[in-house]
Amino acid sequence: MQDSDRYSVRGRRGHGPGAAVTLAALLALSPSVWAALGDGEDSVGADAVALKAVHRAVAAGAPGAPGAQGGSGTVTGAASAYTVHELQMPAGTTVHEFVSTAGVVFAVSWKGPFKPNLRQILGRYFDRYANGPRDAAASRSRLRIAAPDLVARSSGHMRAFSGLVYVPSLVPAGVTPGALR
Amino acid sequence: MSGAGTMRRITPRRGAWLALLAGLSVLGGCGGAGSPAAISNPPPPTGSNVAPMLIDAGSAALTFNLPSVSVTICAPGTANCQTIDHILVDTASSGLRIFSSVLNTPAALPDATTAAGNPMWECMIFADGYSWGSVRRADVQVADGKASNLEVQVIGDPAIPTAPADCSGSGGPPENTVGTFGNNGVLGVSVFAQDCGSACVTVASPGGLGFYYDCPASGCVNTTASLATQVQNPVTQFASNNNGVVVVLPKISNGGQASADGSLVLGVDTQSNNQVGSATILTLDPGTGFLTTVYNGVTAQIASVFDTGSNGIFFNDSTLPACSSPASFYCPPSIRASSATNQGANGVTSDVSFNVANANSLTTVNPGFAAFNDVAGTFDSTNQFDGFDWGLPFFYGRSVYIVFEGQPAAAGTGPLVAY
Repeated sequence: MQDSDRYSVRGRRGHGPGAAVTLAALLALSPSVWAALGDGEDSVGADAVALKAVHRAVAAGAPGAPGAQGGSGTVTGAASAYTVHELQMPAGTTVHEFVSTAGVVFAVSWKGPFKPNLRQILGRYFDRYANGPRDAAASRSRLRIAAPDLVARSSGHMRAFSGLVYVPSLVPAGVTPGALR
Repeated sequence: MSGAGTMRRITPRRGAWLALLAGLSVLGGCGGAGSPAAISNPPPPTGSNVAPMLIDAGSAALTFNLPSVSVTICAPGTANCQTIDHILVDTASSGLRIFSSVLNTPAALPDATTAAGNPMWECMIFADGYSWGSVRRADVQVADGKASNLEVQVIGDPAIPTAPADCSGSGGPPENTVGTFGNNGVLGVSVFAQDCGSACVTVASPGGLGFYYDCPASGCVNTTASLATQVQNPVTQFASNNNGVVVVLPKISNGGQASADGSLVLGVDTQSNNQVGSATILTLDPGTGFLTTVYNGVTAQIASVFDTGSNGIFFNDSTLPACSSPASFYCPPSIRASSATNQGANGVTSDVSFNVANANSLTTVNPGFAAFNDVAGTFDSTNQFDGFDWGLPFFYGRSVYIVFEGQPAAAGTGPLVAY
């Protein structure tokens, strides 16, 4: 965390619209640095600090929104059902945290050359992810968990890791979680 | 969903050994027209720079399509040597990694040290877990290629058995044994010169997960590592034939074979037995090592690579039915003739035809077979077209030339692949 001041950390909803917040203020707003999936929207800022990432919020459904899959016109979810927070890590990995209108992080995804610290972004769900029953196909290069309370997939390739973890019970109505990116 | 007996035979594996942002490379080559890539049957190369490459069930009989060579390692400057078989040849990672359990005396290999002068350890991150081990130094030989005092990761080194929290933060169990991994080690000969590269020079833990650690007696903490002190692609450290490798595999029977014998040739365009000649040359993105692959008119979004460490061709196609277990492989009712187009950074395109057979049927009919040329599966278990992984089935019946980043060859300056 000592390097966090190298990057501007900007929250939107949780910290005032468009307001730049200092590290101290951010920590004050965040109950724990171990927070993310299943936690409130302000936990995203804590993840940004822990991941030393540049943070911005992007409305889902908007053109170019990270949750929207382009190309074939696929609609990934109701545009107003959630907000996507994008955390850009210094070494090139992008983390998306999907926050419902109820203010809860219901999904996280990652893509880039370095896999992010999942203990951080999965928060209270990390142990479930780490120790949960895996699909028989699990191997070093892929992981699948399809449990009632947690769905995860992770694929890894040299310089290209990607993954998505979501909590089915927290996914807003009308959103297709498997299509989130 | 379970069925461990079946799973043992058809566990998918893709090259999970990551290497990271290695900067400094020069994009070479020039544009050209597309050309078909017909499968021939290359004659087995001969010469002192050729290491026999065996495709069999691996040292733990976990799965199929595992190409391996033997590697000799010695305590630096001594005749205290050991030849280790079943070292997986992986064209999608860089660095030599050996499991501690197969080393006669791991402690005979001196620690590599950090800038602080303490032992250096490394955490390798996979999609589903991690491997933790020391970085030690050894004299390494593959065929006639020799490197002195090379950095080697010793996975599962008992000197520090438990990984730091930010290493295990990858989630999943540690993969620190031959039994969980399936080979005695990995010889990573990707286009990248180091496993991490420039990212680790300036950032101690580029993903917030693992990589290099400074390990004084008080405990291990993340550390940066200069390029020179990182785990190197061993071939780059050989005195000659060090600009690349050629993977040569025979054409095999549709339906598979019990085993196959191929070759790992050191060097590209350096000897009479490693000439690119008229092969199609695709330059790779110097930052990622990827090329572009188009399948069914859609371009792969995440990655496209040539990867001997993957035991199938992995891509997403929602029209191909998944096997009942493991669902990551495809099980079409009849063989599906498929094709995809590769495009290099130099604009050269190459159409590749391949078959997708029913993975369950193949492995059920011949459970002892270790070589299959028509096994494929999903890239990431979704219907999204995320990537294209040309695993070992692509390599049968071809000579595939790999020129390392920044290295010159008659074919051009790496990173490039030709076939």
